[in-house]
Amino acid sequence: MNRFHFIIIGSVLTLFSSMVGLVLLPIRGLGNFEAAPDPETGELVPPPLSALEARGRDVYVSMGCMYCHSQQVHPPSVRTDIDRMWGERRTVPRDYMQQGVAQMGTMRTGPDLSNIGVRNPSQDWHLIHLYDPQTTSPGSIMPPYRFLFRTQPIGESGPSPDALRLVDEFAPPKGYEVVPTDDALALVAYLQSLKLSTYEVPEAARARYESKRQ
Amino acid sequence: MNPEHIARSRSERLAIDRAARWPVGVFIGSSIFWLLAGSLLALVASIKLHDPEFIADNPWFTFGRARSAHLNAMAYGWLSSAGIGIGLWLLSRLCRVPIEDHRSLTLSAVFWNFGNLVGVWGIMRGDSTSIEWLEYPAYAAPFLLASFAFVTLAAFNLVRRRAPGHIYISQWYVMAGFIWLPMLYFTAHGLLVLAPVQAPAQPPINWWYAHNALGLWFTPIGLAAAYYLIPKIIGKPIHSYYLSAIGFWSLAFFYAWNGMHHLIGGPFPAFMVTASVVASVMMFIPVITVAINHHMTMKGHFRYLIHSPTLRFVVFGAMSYTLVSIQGSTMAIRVVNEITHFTHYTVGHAHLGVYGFASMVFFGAIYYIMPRLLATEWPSRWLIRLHFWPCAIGIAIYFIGLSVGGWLQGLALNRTDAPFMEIMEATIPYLKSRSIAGILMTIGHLAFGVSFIWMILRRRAATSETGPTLFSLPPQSADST
Amino acid sequence: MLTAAIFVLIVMLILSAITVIAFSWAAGSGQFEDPADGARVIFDDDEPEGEPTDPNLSQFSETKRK
Repeated sequence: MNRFHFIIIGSVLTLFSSMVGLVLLPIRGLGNFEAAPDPETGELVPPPLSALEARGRDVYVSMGCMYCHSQQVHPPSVRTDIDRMWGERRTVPRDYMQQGVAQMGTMRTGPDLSNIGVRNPSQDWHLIHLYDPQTTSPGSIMPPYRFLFRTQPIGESGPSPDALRLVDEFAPPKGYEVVPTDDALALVAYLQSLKLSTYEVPEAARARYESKRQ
Repeated sequence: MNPEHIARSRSERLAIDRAARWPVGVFIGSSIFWLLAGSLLALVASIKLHDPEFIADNPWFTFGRARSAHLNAMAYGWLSSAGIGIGLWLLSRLCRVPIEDHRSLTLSAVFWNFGNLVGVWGIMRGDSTSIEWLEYPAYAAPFLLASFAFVTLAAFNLVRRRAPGHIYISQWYVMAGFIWLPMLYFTAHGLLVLAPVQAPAQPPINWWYAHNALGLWFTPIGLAAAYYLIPKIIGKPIHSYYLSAIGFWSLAFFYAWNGMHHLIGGPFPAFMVTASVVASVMMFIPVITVAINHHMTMKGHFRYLIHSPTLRFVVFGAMSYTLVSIQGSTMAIRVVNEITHFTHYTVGHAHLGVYGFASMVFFGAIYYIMPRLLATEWPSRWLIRLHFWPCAIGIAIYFIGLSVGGWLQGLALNRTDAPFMEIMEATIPYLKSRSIAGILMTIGHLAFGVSFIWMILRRRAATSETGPTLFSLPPQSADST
Repeated sequence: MLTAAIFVLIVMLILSAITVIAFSWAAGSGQFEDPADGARVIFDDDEPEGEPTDPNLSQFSETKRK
């Protein structure tokens, strides 16, 4: 080949051709969701995040939780997600419309979190698990997020209502308590909001049918 | 052979290498800094995965940030800087014109390094976008884009002034890579970071970008280097030029469609995923053409690998390219993907590509290029051995460890009777083997860094073939044989 | 999704047509001539074919072997 124009134009065109299928079509087909009524309850789904939950989502993004945890439930024909109670149906595109930055994830070093708010609804559990995963899951390789908490002396009026109930080697020194920062509370609120199985979306009937098929 | 022609060829080539000294040298020097920084971040991330208390109380180093800082430092700091330097040198040599844009390329290198510094700092500080391969915060991107604009312009300038005659395959790859990367980054950054499309549409765009950064930026520069260095070092032309043309265009066309194979099983239209699966399998075509070409060119000369470290690095890389690409095609097939998706197997595959292929080829290219830029020699044969062997053994351990561990992890994830904690625990020995591999690779990189700095500081002119050095210019006595 | 699929199909047909036309022009205007010579451009009079350019391989040099 002895003309650079040929190479340059050809390179640009081949890349553009792929953009049709992998960029333009997704924008057109997956980029315009609006909240739709739940077929059973009539409420708009997926439910919007509160301000606290949205802040928690930003903490999730800032900490890079996605790099170990996925948020996509696959049908039983592909994976055991539903058997593991990671959801009752596969996720559909509409489920992600609330996420500013899609956090679907590509690694399952830790479990999928699409339904974690249903599997682990307790704020206390999440707070001590985040503080140090060894408290609830000995041997876990999840990092501790102690820096999202404050160890402070117990005040004259007694322990604060937020103080974590930590025991054994995790408990702070005598006279001290561990309280969550606002970021920790926000992050937990976000995790508690991940409740895939509590709402139906219009596409869910078909998705649920696919989930039941073996 | 006419002595006048010989002298003219030599002085032309020396002028080209001399003009490349500063711009190419600066990009290569920068790349080595980022290689070392990225290696440290890699070790931190790797150790944390089996030892979560390691540097646990500093949010700047939390795994989710350390891992992303490592990836971006290596992708944009090490591989891309080296790719720019190597690509410009190849283009200058093959167009047979010296680089002229010294000022703009110096500015480009400053911007590139600054953008990477700001980007890595931004990730560690907590401003990561959490978009894979695009984690640098928005404030870093303008520096990278401005920098690359200068690079692409410099490339066009070389091409415009090129000596008449055939355009060699490496030139096609470099020019295409220099066009593809800015197109990809600009589009992805725009649609995902600056003015994000709605979340359900983001992953296809994300993985269109990320997979193409691998296949339409790192791969072209790596192949360009291999296609030039293998025949140039051994003195024998590439086996089939015609095959090269088929390889180039089939890479351009099929590779770009691969992206969705990262999202198999996910919430996307089936036809989109299927298109990527088909394109991923069709990659056999360009990969086989490259493999045949390199193998037939090397045929009869494999014993050269014993003597030439440059060739060893480049051929190791070229063979890794074949292996990782065939592995990649198999991973796109659903029955395999059902096992490997979401596991460490994918990480092993990724590193066989960016390290076993791209980094090893780039190491070989830097060993060839630097002495010719500086008209001096690498200071120590031993340091080069200390670079090659730990890195080669390291990536082998890395790849085998994570492939076995990831495969077992995937099989267990698909069994309903395997509790998640047990699956995670079973991966730990393999994650530890990866840290060991990482230590070996870092040793190699340190040897490389020491070699580079020592070479620059020493600047002994190339003289004869005696001494412990390896890459001296062909002795003046070539005329006197 | 059917309209999307048809849209993609039409675009692919157009791009394929462009590709075919481009290749026909390329072949016709001699872009693919001299494949063997194309491989030789990496050599010159000072670093000719047959001569390794890595001094570690000087023992394999054709001129040295004479």
